[in-house]
Amino acid sequence: MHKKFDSFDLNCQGTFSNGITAIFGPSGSGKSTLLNCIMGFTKPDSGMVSLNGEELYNSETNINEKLENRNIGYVFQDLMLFPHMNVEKNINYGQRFSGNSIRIPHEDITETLQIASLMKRNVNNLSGGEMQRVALARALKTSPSILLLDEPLSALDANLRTTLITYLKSVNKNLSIPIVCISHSLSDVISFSDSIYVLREGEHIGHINSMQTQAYPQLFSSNDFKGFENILTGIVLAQNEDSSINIESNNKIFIATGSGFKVNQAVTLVISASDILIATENQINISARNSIEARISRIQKTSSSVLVHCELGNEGVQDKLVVQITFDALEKLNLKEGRKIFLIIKASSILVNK
Amino acid sequence: MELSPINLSLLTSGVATLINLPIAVFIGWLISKLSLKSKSIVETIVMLPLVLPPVVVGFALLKFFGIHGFGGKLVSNIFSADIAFTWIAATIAASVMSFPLMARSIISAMESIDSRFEQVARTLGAKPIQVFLTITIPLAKRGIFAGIIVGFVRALGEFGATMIFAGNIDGKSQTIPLAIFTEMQLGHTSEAGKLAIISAVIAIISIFIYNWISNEPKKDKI
Repeated sequence: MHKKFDSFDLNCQGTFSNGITAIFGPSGSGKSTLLNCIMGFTKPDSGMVSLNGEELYNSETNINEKLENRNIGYVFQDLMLFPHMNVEKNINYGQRFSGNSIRIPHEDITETLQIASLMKRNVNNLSGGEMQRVALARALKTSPSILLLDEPLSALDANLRTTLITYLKSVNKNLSIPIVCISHSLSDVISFSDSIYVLREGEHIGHINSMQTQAYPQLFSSNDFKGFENILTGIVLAQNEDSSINIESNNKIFIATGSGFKVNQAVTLVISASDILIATENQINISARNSIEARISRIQKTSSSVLVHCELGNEGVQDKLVVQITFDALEKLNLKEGRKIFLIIKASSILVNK
Repeated sequence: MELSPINLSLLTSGVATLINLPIAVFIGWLISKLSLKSKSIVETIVMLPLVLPPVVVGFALLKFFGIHGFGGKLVSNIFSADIAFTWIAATIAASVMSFPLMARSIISAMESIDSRFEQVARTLGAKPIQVFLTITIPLAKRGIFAGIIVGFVRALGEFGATMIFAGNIDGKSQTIPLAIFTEMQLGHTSEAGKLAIISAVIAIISIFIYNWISNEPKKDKI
C-alpha cells in the first residue's frame, strides 16, 4: 500500500494474523496513517487492502469499500463515546445496523470486559478504564472481523495499562478477534503483542514475532525514539521468593522484580534511559538493587538532554545501555568517553518480558 | 383571510421558521464538511441578508416575486395567484431576513462536532444518513434550538423588507412592527404602546429560553 503526502510517503506491506499485532514506530513514522488506510478513513494512492480474502481497497480494480461495510472495529485514542447516549445505548449503537450478522453474544462481551454493572451509567461519569472497556465493547458488539486500536495505552497510568492489557488479551483469546494496535512505547508493545510490525519514516522495516528477542537490538536500537528504551536479552538465573529475579545479561547480573519466571528462561529486559543513574564510584549503601560497572563509549548531546552510551562488559561485547542525563550532571560528574562508571538501576525499573 | 397583527406576526414568523429550519440544518451540515475556501463562499451568501439594508432585500424580493419577476410569473402560472402584498410575501420577507441568524447558530453547532463521532458511527455500520440523524443532529440540538429561537424573534421584528415586499395592508400583511408604525403615524400612541409591549414580551420570553438553553450545563460533553 502506498500513500503520498506533501512531506511524507507511506510504503507498507504485510499480513496481520490472529493474535495481537502491534504497529510500532516513533512519532511521525506513519502508524496512524497505516491504520486509517486499513479502516478506510484515508484512501491510499495505490495498493490493496484485504480482510479474510475479501478486498476492501484495490487501486487497480477501483474497489474502495465503504466504511460501514468493512466490518472492522475501530477504537480511537480518545475513545469518542457518544456523549448523548448512556453506556448501554453506546454499546448497542451498531447493533441496529448489523442485522443478523451478530456472532458474539452480548453476555460474552460484558463478561469479558466486566461492564454489566455499567449499563445505565452516563458515559461522562465513567473512569478512564471504564471508558476504555465501554469503547471496546461498542466496537466488539458489531462482531468485527478485526479490531484496530489507536494508541490504546498511551493515556493510561501504569495500573490501568496492566488491566487493559489483560482485557485485550482476553478479548483476543475468548472472542477470537485479531487485534492490531499502534504504539510508540516499546515496553507496551513487548508486554501485550504477539507480533510487532515496525515502521520508520513511513517505511516498513520489519515484522517479527514478539518472541524473536534476538531481532530486537537490530530493529529497535535507534535513538530516534522519543523516551529511549534499552532492550537487553538475558537468561533467568533465579526466581526468588521475594518476587525478585536474578538475570544474567552480557556477563552482568541484573536484579529485577517479577514472578512466575523459570530458571534458564530466556527473557527481554526493557530499561528506560531516564530510569538509570550514573555514579562515578561503586555504590554499596543504596536501596537500588543494581550497581553495574560500565564504560562510557560515547556522549551524545541532544537539544534537551545528554545520552551517555555505555559498554557493559569486556571489549567485544556488543550490547550497550544508553543513559539519559542532564547537561548539568554531565559537567558536575566530569564524564568523559572511556571513563569507568557505575550504572544504578532500581529493580522495579527493569521490565522483564518472557 | 384577515388576521390581526399579532396573529399575522405569529403566523408569518412561525411559517418562516419552519421553512428555514431544514435549509439551515442542511447548510450547517454542508459547511461543516466543506473546505475552508468553499465554506467562506457559502457563508458569505448565507450572511448576505444580515448586512444588506432590509429595504434592499425587500426591493429585490419584490422585483423577483412581483408580477413581472421570474418568481412571480412562475408562481402565477402554477398557482394562478400573486405573492406580492400578501401574508405569504410577509412570510418570505421574514424568512429571508431571519435566515442568517438561525443559520449562524446551527452552523456553529455543526462545526463544533468532532467528526470522529461520525467516523465511529460509520465503523459501527451506520450509513451517512443514519449518522446524520442519530449522531450529528442530536449533538447539534442545542445550537438548533437556539437557532430556532433567534430566527423566530428576528422574524417577529422584521419591518423593512416586509414593508416593501408585502406592503402594510391591514388584516393581510400588517404584522406587529408595521401596525406599530401605522398607529404611530396616526397618532394612536396608546395602541402602538400596547402592541410594542406585546412584541417586547414575546421577545423577552424567547430570549430567556434562548439563554436558558445556551447556559444549561453541557451534560453531553466528555
